[in-house]
Amino acid sequence: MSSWRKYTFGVLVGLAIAVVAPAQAKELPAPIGKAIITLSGVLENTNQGNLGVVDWDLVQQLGMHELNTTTAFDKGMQKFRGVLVRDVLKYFGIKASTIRAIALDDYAIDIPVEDFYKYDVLIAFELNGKRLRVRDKGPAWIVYPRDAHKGLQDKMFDDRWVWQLIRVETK
Amino acid sequence: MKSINWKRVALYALPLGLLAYASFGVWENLGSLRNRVDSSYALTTRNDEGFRLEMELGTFQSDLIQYVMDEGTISFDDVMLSFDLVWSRTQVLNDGSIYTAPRGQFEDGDLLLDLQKELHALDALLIDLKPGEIKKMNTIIRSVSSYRDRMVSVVNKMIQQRVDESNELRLALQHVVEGLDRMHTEFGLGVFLFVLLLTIETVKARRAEAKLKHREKRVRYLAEHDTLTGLGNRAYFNKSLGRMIDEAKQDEESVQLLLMDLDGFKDVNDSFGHPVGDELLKIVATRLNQCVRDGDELARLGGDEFGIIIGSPASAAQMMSKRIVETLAKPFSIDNKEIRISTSIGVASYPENAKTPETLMRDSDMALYDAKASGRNSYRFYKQSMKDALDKRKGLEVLLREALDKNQLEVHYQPQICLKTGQVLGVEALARWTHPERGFIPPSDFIPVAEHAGLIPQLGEWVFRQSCIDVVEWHNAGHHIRMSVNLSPLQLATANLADEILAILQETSARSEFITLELTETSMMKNTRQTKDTLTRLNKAGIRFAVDDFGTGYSNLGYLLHYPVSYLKIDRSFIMNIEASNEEQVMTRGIINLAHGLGLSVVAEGIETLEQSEILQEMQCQEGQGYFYGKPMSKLKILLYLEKMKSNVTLLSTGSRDVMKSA
Repeated sequence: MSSWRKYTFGVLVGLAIAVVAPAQAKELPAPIGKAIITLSGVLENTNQGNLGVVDWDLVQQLGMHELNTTTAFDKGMQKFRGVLVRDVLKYFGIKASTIRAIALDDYAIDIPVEDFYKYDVLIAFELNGKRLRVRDKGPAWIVYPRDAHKGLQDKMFDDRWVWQLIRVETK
Repeated sequence: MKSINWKRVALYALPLGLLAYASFGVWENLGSLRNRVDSSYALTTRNDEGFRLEMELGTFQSDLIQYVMDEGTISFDDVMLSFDLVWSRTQVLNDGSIYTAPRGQFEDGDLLLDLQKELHALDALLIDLKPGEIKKMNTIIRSVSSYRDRMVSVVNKMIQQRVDESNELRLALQHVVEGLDRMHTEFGLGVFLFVLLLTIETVKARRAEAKLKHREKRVRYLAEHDTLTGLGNRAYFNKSLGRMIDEAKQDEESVQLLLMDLDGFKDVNDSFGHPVGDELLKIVATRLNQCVRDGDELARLGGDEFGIIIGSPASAAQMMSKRIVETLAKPFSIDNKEIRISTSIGVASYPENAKTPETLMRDSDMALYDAKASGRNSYRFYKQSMKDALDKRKGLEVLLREALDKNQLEVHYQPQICLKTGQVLGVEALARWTHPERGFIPPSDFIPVAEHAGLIPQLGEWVFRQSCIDVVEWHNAGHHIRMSVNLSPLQLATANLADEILAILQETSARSEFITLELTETSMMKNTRQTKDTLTRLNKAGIRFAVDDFGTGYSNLGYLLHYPVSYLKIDRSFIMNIEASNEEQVMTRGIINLAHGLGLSVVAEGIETLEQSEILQEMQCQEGQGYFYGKPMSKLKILLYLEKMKSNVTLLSTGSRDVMKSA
């Protein structure tokens, strides 16, 4: 009985939030630490001017997930830790259907946003227990759960594993 | 449920099969296209790592030089970032599986592995590199440059390979596009065939429908038309009559119905044959068509019967009838023969005479009957008196049938006498009808009814049989007299008359040599061939023939030679005034001389006085009948008469008036 009541309450609150939340753009708390990734374009919520900046604190706040997988860039099994891409997109209120991921060496590729809702795609910050350095293809790396989905073991998806990721733009 | 047309199914399967084949080509082409898209993607995205590495080595080299030579303009971190980029890419190229092709090309002396080792060595040098340390810088630059030189030749090779591959890809894509074109054509062809087939089917269906419609139209035409003349038939006529009466009812107008038949058409058929008769009907149809106007309905109702419906007042019908009678009276020329016929027309009017199609037809028919009865070649409008006469006739017909069934008729006999001796030579049989309620009905009333009702053969047969039975009885009683029986033209028309007569003779044991059949002149002139055959056959069997009412009918005496005639019966009209009229005497004498000349006997009819009898005796007329000698009398009375006469013969021969009277 009580759980049912709780459930109903939850649904009502959820509905209220769903109705109210999109209506107003939020100014998120400003970043404290050094920027790791900068998001630009159409963002509903921003935390630095009209940009979204991901710093280490935000990473902690969004929560890190672990992903063990082989890659097309290294030998053997690798253990990644990082935030879900969709969590970042949601946090900044990004509704675009495609984003452009840009790396330190100016490598850039367009990725359909549906990838991040279909799969648990991470922006990894740690590899095998250590923070990623530029030398290790850091500081951030888009990684796909390639071992879990056969369809992801494809050149097209390998190209979306953007390493040395520093910028994201909405399309 | 219609059965499946497998032929058509097979026909459909053909283009559908082609379509399927074309579609198969589509999938094949699409599969190949997908592979080509993948390889073109690979071609445009791979290898970049090689270029990037060469480029990054260049960046690192320039950053390094700037850092050492141009103090303070670039930070150590920037130099290390350039170095790390080279480092990480070299590592990916060596360890990763993604860039297999470039690694293969760099395998020239394990270039990339050597580079990785060299980077580890350079890393140690870089760690404590300070601006101005030119010697250290040169060591690093020398090392990097040697790798860059080796890389350039590889990159050149790679460029050439890319050109080759893209060329190959272009050709392959062109092939795919051609395939798509072909597929397009095949698909188009399939669709075209399909549409073509559908079109053919539609056209076929439409043609079949048209055929069916045409056939229906033809059937309807045949159902409503007479094939000989092309005119409407009776069914069509009835329909038209119903329609025109309905229209007239609404518009409060009148309709005239003309029924006609051709007088003497049967004779044309008999004399010239049916083809000529048909030809005549066609010409009649044409002539009638010229007499009617638009809106009038003309139809052939069957045989030589035609009908016309006109939606006008009676005066128009009169004019048209007059015109038709005149038109059809003009001679017809068929097969170089000139044929003449005439026509009789009966007219009835809606709504004056009748209000329904059926009654209008009936009235018109009655008028036609009247036209025919009153001498033909004329037209008559329906009158109430016609219906009254018909009703009377119908009523009499019912009674007559009943009388025949109930044996209410009798045969009476009028004696025929030898004028010289007074001996009874024979009797003439005459039908008599005394109705239980109506009393005596004269033959002049019921004979026409019997003729019209088709009862003559039955009546004639009955009279003949009765007469035979009676004459046999008298013969058995010792009175060997002749029996004269009248033969109607309608009896003569029956084909097996001779058989019937001979059968009755056999049945009753009557002796043929005592039988005389009486015919009128006109009846002998009809069906000449058949009549002659019948008469000849009966004559051979012993039956004799008398010409009844001689002198009143046909003027051509040739037939007397043509038929086996034994007696001439002089019509009563000559005898009636014979005492007073010289002309009658001359005529009668002429007839008697003619008969004798031809070897015929003469019987005078209607002798009412002794004077008449004496004049006829003087003229050598042997026999006579009439009231003077005896009225027609019943079977019993005639027997008594015969008994009496037998004993008085001698007296009679003296010509005693008293004795005659008492008879």
